[in-house]
Amino acid sequence: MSISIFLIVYCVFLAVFVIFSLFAIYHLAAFVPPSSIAFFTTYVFLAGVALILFVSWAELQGVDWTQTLSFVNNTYESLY
Amino acid sequence: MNLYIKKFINQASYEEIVYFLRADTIILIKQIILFVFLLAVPFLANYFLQVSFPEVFENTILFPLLALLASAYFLTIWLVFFLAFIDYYLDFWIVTNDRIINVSQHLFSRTISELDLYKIQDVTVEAKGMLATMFNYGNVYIQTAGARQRFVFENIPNPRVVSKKIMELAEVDSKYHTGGGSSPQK
Repeated sequence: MSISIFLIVYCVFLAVFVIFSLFAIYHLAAFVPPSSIAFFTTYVFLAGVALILFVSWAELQGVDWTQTLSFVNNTYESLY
Repeated sequence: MNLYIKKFINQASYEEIVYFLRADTIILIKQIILFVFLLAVPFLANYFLQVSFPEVFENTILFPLLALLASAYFLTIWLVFFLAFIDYYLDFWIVTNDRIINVSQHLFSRTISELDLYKIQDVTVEAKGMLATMFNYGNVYIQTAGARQRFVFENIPNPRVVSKKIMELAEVDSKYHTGGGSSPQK
């Protein structure tokens, strides 16, 4: 099994995150009149999400996702 | 803002808005402080790992796992904070000279409840803790004879002033409903 399994789990998490985020933004759009507060908070939230995703992407740039996942032979030995 | 309020209360011609209340700002500030603390946790963990286990950052399997976990953690607390803000902003109480309206927002539900002022039997103020006393915020419990026993204004600013005003309004409304008063004009 390759370590791309981490990415798959992360993508599932992202899907749930997107659903909850859309619900939250919908509530702001539906129940708050078009105002600076609603726009500002939505903008800040989306900007924060973009920043977190960008930093994550930058950190994971050099990772070889085809590596085999083996905790006993690989991870443990490389740690000690 | 007035148009926004009118959208919820379907205001009658004789009805005047006396209070538009939200939880005190200190409640939001407490959430921001908690958020900043939670934001600092991964940075502290990162520092601890760099000092104690620098090998982790060179490990080709553990490093991407930790990076993805950190990313998921940051996204989660960012979303939770956003939801907490929405909860704070969209939960409010409107007091008019005829009734009280409570608008309560949760992620998948929204509740709007009303209470006629003349049904109020008792109003109780509660300020629990040092912060509530220092910053003058607290809960106001409104007791009625109806099926819904208690109506609660949670963590509102100046709870004593609000409760006193509600009692005054309830008295006037009660006089009107028992035929002893002339206000509010209906």
